[in-house]
Amino acid sequence: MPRRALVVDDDAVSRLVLSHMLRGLDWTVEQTADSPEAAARLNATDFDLVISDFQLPSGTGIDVLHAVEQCPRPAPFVLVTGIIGYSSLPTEVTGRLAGQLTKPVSSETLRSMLRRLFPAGSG
Amino acid sequence: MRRELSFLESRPSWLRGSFVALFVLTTVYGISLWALPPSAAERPGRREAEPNPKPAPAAESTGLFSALSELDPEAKAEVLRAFVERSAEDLLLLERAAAEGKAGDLRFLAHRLRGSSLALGATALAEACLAVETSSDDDAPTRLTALRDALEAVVGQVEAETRARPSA
Repeated sequence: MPRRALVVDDDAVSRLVLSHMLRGLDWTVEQTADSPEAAARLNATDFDLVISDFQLPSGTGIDVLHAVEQCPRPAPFVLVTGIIGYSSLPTEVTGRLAGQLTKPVSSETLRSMLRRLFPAGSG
Repeated sequence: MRRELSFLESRPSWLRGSFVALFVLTTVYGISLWALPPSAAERPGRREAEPNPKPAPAAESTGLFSALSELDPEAKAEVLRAFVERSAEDLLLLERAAAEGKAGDLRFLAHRLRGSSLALGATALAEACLAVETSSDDDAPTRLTALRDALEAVVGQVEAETRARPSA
């Protein structure tokens, strides 16, 4: 059974590229454009991975991280951005991230991160 | 012909054989060039013989779309269509925000367009977006003009790519 990912980004093109890359790696993908929608999806469905842009219309990716952490089975959360350096994020936040990606995200970077988060045979 | 044959008759038999073999091979090759249709001669690996080779799309040499290189053609086409649609929409919104002096909207929209640009690998456009994101009220119009020019260049390359590879 394919793993399920939620991609959160208000930019449709970035969302589409990431979703296609994940589908190419046999993931099932859902997409949302903002943090409130993401929270609603997280309440309704179990995800194996959540990837969110930092800058969102109603807030930031950290709001999505909070929503993930409220889930009974929190999925690994990956923050993707093109605007801030991760060094500018508080350690309290970076310590809760499963991964960090910078735009443009290459297929190889994504594959490598997924291999680290989901080693072969981890189900 | 008779003169040629008499010339051969005075030569050793092994040399006569060679001349005859050469004559036969040359004749057969000449006939094959004349008789075969052009498509049969233009096989892969003979591209240098093409009279009007198609120029490679400029985008390929600049690294634009490199971020999409591993997507299948249909996915790539969907991304490029989305980019053209969304960027045109964002440009209109940017110009409206600039005209109305809404600096927050201007920064947000420029940031969003920067995300699209980076997703495609359009770094020059992404830099123009960043310049608008970080502009003061005074220099925003100038930077917006530069952004519009950069966007037009990328959209032109997207259209060239789409024309060159209709499924891409």
